[in-house]
Amino acid sequence: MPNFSSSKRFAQAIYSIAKENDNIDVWIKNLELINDTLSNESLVTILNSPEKPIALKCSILYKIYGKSLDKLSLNLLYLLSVRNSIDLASEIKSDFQNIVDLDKGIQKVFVTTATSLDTKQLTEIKNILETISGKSVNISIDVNENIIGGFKAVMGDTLLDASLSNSINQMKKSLKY
Amino acid sequence: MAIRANEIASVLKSQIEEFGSEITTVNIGTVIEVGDGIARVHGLSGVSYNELVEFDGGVVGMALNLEEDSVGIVILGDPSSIKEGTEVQGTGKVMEVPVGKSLLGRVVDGIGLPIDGKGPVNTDESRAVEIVAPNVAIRKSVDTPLQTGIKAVDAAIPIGRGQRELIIGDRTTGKTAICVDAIINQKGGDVICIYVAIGQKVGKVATTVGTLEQFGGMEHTIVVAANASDAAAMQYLAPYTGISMAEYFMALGKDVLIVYDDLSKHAWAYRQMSLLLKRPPGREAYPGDVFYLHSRLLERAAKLDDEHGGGSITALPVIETLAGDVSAYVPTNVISITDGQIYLEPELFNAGTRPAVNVGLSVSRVGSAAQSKSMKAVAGQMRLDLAQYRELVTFAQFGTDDLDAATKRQLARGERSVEILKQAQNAPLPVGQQVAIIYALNEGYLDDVDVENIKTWEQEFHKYITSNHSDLLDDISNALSDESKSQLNSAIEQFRDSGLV
Repeated sequence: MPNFSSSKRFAQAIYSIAKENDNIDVWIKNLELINDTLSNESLVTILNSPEKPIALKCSILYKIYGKSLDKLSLNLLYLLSVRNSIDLASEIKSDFQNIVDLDKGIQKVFVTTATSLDTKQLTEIKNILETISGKSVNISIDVNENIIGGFKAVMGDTLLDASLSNSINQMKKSLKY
Repeated sequence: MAIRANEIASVLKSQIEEFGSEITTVNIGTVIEVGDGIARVHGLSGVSYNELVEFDGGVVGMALNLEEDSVGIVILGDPSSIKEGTEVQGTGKVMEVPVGKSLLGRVVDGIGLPIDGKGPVNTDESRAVEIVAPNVAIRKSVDTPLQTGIKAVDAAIPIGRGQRELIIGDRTTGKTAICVDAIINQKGGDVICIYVAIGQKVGKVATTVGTLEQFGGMEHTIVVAANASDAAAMQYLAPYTGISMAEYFMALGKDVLIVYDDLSKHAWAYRQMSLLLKRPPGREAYPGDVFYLHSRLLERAAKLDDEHGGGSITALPVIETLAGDVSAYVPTNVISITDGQIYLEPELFNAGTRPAVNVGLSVSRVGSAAQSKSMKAVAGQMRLDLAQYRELVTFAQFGTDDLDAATKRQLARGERSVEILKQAQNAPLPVGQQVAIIYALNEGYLDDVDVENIKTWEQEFHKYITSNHSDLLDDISNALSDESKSQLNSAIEQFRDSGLV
């Protein structure tokens, strides 16, 4: 059976630790640091290799991070390398960020529009999305001419489709039958 | 239907006014992995079990595995347009199929879309494929016979409306032939038939449809065909599609006969899907719920009580055994679910006994309650004769010269009983004629006819009695009174003395 260890569960665990110690910002910084260094491929290869003894991996990690990270962050790294799942680190980071955002009441929204928006339009869309989601939204904008007009917004797994191309598709479907 | 021009204009006006103003909210996800008819999708967090989803490009799928990080989806269509990163949208609807009277005479695929080239099916109604079976409070025990028109079945293994009777046997033993005959026999009657072909060769399905059309069986029949070349998911859905269509008619108070040909291939299709969805394999690599797969399907066959319309669904599931192995996993499961089985043997088939029904091993657990009185009266004697014959026949292989007269008589009767139970394909017989010929056999009118002449005797007898005594045949279809017995005796004697044979 494939290994189904989930980054979400790690992120949840870290979040509860961080909340207990009241150092969420420190954790965000640490996770970013870990991610930056893990972009080094040869390091990841060594850490993922089942041949290398765990003691060696831990000593490498200690040498790299010993001074910059606290004990718990180091423990997380040790745990991931023992489980050969150091790859999860980047997902853990984004999941952790999501949990933190959700807790603060911030919702990340990806908005697609046909033309670039001015500030007035942006605030208008932001207001609409904030009423719908009931949270303060953090918008990132993407321009795509294919949607013809209107906008599309993706919040988590929900797609709000107010684009012209969608309306045309709906009409096409209803005319088909 | 007349529609006034100003009505159309007002509809269009409102459409134009509202165009583009509505916002649709849907659940979305992205494909992270696709292959072998299965897509693994990230996201779709609000999707429900068995929900229909739509891939970018219009292909539909069904959500089956809802996991922590992903959703396993079976693809119902051409998967070639689906790639990693393709967007998937939930539709908010569980799997539904079209139902209705306009489906009669049509051939549809595993999800109810027509494949016979006769244009779209004109129906507005649809029904979910997964419905919980009717509960015990609205059911009634089986009380009406379902005539298959096959002597061996109607006499020895009677089937009642609302019963589940398994047809089991090796390849090429005539399983489909029995089902097709049963469908043809409903011609002009009050029973609607649904033939579900699962994992069969397209050519074989075409032949079956051709036979049904030739013998007038197609007018009251819907064929649901998920062929061997269709996706495993289609083959998995086909029986549920069929029974949903049947339930529509049952709810209207009608009687339905549904044939699943065959459930072994259905189990194979489900095994393939389950293994690809990474569900843990069990015995013979079937998933843990392969019993539930068939039990929930066959439980939906029912006889409703009069308060609920009194409709019924009779199910004839077919199981193909490998080298006669009835103790394999799926055959034993289905045997235990059904209310009896018709066991077909290759030895009998090759010896020329067709239909190759082994009357000794076949049983019908509830059907005898529904058998007509006249048939019950004559069939009992014949079954006894056959049972005694089977015991004697092995013994008689060593020569019959030294046997006493009673034993010889028993053997002769048995040989003739076997001969009478033989029947040509696509030639179902009305119950009156069945009773008449078995009565003639029981009363010994055939004892002095040579075994090789029995077939001709029977054919001529049917011709004679239908043209001269059709009232009597109607009479004995239900009950066999002393008066009709004496009429039947004199009719048989007249025929015997007429010199026709």
